[in-house]
Amino acid sequence: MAGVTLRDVVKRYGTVEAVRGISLDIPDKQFVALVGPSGCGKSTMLRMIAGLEEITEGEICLGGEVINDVAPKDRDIAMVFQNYALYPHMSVFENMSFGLRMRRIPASEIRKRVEDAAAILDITELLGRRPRQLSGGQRQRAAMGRAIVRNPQVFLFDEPLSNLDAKLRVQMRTEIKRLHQKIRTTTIYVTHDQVEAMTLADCVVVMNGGLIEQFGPPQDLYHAPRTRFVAGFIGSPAMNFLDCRLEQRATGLSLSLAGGLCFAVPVSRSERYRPWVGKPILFGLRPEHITDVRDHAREDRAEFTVTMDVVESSGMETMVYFMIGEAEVCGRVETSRAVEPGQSMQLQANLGHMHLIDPATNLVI
Amino acid sequence: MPGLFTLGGPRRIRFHQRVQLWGIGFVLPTILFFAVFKFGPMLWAVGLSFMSYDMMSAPTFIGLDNYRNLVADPVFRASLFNTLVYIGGSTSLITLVGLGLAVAIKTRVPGARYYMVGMFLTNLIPIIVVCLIWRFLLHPHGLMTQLLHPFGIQRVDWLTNSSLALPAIIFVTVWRFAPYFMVVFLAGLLAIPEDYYEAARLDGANAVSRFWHITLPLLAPTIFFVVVVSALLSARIFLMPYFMTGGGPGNATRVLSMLIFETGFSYLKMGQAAAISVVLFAIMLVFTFAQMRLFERGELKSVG
Repeated sequence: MAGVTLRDVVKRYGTVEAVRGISLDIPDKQFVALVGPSGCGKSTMLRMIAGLEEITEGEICLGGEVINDVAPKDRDIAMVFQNYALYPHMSVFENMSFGLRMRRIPASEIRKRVEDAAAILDITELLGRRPRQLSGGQRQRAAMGRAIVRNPQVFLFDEPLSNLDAKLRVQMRTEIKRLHQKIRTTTIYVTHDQVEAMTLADCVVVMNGGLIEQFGPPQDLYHAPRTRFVAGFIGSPAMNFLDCRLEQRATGLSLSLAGGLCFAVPVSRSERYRPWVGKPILFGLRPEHITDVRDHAREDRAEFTVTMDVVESSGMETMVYFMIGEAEVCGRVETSRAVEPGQSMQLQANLGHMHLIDPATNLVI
Repeated sequence: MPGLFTLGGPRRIRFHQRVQLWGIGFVLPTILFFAVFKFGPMLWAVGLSFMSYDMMSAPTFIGLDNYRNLVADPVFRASLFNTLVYIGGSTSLITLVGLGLAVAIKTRVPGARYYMVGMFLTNLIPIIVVCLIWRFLLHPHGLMTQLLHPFGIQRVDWLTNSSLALPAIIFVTVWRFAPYFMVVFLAGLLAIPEDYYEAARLDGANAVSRFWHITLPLLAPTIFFVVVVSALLSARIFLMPYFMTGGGPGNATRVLSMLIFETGFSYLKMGQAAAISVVLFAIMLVFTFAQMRLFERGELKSVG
């Protein structure tokens, strides 16, 4: 097992820059998720690590050695593809053992390793079947089996769950997590689903437009996003953004929003925000921090009353949508307290979790 | 009309029966066409093979005499042998060359597209023109011989040497038809998802292993198609030997289709000609069934 280091990696297709200079240090045994919208360069990044795409500029190191010019077969990296890419004319056993046979490992050793891997993944009884006789989840397991029998330095996953239905996806997500806890191989996992990234990874890398927006543990990204993009991308439903103005009042700093709303900035944040007084600014607050006013009182809260537009209940909780000025805002309340659309409700904004974003730089202040 | 809404009223035809009648109505013209113009003549030819018929007097039944004559006839035996050699030689070479060219183009050798267009042009040339061109090129002092001048060879009787003539015709056949099957192979190759090759590269397979373990098994249906079609095409070959060598020298390039034509229309032995066609038909049938069985087993294996 080994860590992976990227240094100023660039990928160009003609004049198009898919990856625009990425540096990242992935320690040994870590589970790292690359997440971002379509076309952000995350898959290209993964394929460069695998050796399926050439690196235009920069260096990729595996266990301290530069592997830019090492052929994929000599990189000791295994990959699980989005469509699994299980060879259709081979049984699961043959699929899993193919890499070992290519490396001329003795048959008895191959049998043992395949059987061990099959036991870990609980697919022993499927070893004689062909891929087309397997369900989606079983194919997924077989594809993972093909990766783990080789006992590689690094696992790469390229959106492995995107072809599964919602229920199976959650199940396989747990499965992948359990697998990593069991064999602790360095894993790089590409997904466009931020929930997948957050739940699986030790470290999440948010990419956008071929660059890294931010990377760190999931909780850091959630609680302390560095850019507007990360703030909006991580979390579901997405963070609410409202245009506002920071003003100095007798009682302290305050935010004046559209529709005459005015929120007092928590004292603990005053120093940080003071340089932006008098300037237009973007106010960000997650739906889970806009709650029913009757919830146990929090510090740094601001109460306001709004008229509900849409009320969506998912059982345990209810998302409420309403307008503040021109912007639609989402909040979360307990289902028993939800009101009908058109009725008004008193809510509180938990300003201890607010973010202010400088519209000029899109950076969180 | 009280019966209108009664299901299965006395004289009414039920819905699904009506659908079936319409279906029969639609296929009837085709069935008739095939019966009259395909299966009819085929059956007639089989019947004729048991008769003596010179197209002037009425046919007379002679039992298996036509077949007995064939077995005794050295020209028939030579033609049968030539046909089998021709089928074997051109089918295997067309398949190998077609596959080779397709793989070369798929792996993007420089200028592959131009080669492909250039080679495919051979398919647009009428066979007669192909024969004329190659008779010229295969002249004892022609271009093909001139290519051998550096090796000290001044004259090669390509088409008039009895051991060279059939290989020469096979060569021209491959030249004419391999590019067509190259396109078929290329379509088959392009239908194999790139994922498999990428997975195999990570699995440590080199180019040869990838071809052997991924390309060939996944291309099996295409290979089967090409082998069957080119074998049937070779079995019926007529124009090439007819125009290039006329079956000679001696009987070195005489194939069954030529023998059928000559026996029937030059010697007016229609019964005998029909017997030869039955033999040719039997060869094609056996060949097709053998290949179907062979590949069915392969297919089953790949399904599990």
